[in-house]
Amino acid sequence: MCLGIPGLIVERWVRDDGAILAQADFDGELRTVQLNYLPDLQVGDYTIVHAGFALTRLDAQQAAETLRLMRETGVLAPES
Amino acid sequence: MTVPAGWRLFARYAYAPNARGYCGPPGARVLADVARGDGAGEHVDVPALARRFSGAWPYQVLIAELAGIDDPLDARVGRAYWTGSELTGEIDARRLGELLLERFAAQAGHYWSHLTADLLEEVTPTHVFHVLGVYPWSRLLAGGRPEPLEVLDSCRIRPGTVLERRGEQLLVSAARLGWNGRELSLGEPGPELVGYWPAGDGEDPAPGDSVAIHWRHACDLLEPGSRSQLERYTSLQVEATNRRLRRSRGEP
Repeated sequence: MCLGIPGLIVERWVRDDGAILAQADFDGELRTVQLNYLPDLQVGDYTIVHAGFALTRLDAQQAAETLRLMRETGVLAPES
Repeated sequence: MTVPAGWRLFARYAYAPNARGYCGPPGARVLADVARGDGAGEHVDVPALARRFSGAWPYQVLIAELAGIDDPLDARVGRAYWTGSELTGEIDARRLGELLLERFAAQAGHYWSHLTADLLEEVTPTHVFHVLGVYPWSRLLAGGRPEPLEVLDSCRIRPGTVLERRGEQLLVSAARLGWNGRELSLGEPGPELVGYWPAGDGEDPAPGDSVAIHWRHACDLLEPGSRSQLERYTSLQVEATNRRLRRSRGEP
């Protein structure tokens, strides 16, 4: 995710120490991310993550366009 | 089959952020196999993995293109990008920056609005430019949270001097980035523990050796020339970042 792959938030929870965490689906790969910079992100939202932190909110159209460009440039595998 | 030197160099530097899930496709274990150079990584398709590192790969492609080198994974190209080298200084940085921004802006410009021509004056064809200039973190420093400085410092390649080996770790002396609320600076070197690969080829770091540290992992032994280039390009990018941050506050 050197440039940030859009992730779809599929689960969200708050840890005991206050960290807001989410499980996000990055083109089929699930990873845990921190939401402290965008604490109002909810399940169903798209986000760009860098170094484990969600830094940017995307709408579904932006996410689809970004994924398309990433496939075109070979960063992501083509859709099967 | 011997793993080409440039493939091994790429694997060394790409391993740690990949292992953390930050960059590239899943594949840290095979990158480590390639990086160690002990034969286990001989059948790994490093070019296929490298193409999926959306940060590093465009630099290696453009450095090779502008230097007239056929292979983006040539060791000279990787050295120029990850630490800086004499070749780095021979690349037309402005041209590379223009081509790079075309690519990055098409892919990421709609969510990272700072990827504009204003960034061109900061461009060197190096990883430290990518970390300080392209990533959004330097623009988040003023917010006061600890993560921006920690990410910038971990993600840049830091030179360190080996003090001693402690099992699977090295005690090194290395400088950290500092932030005083207005400017970045490089501090005095201090001791810290970092990971490393016990080498399969007799290249274990020894006290006094220089190493490159990426995400708290000593990933490469540095020749004195590479270390001084790394220090030089790091200083240049820290200065360029501070100029940008001053401008963003409306200061001359």
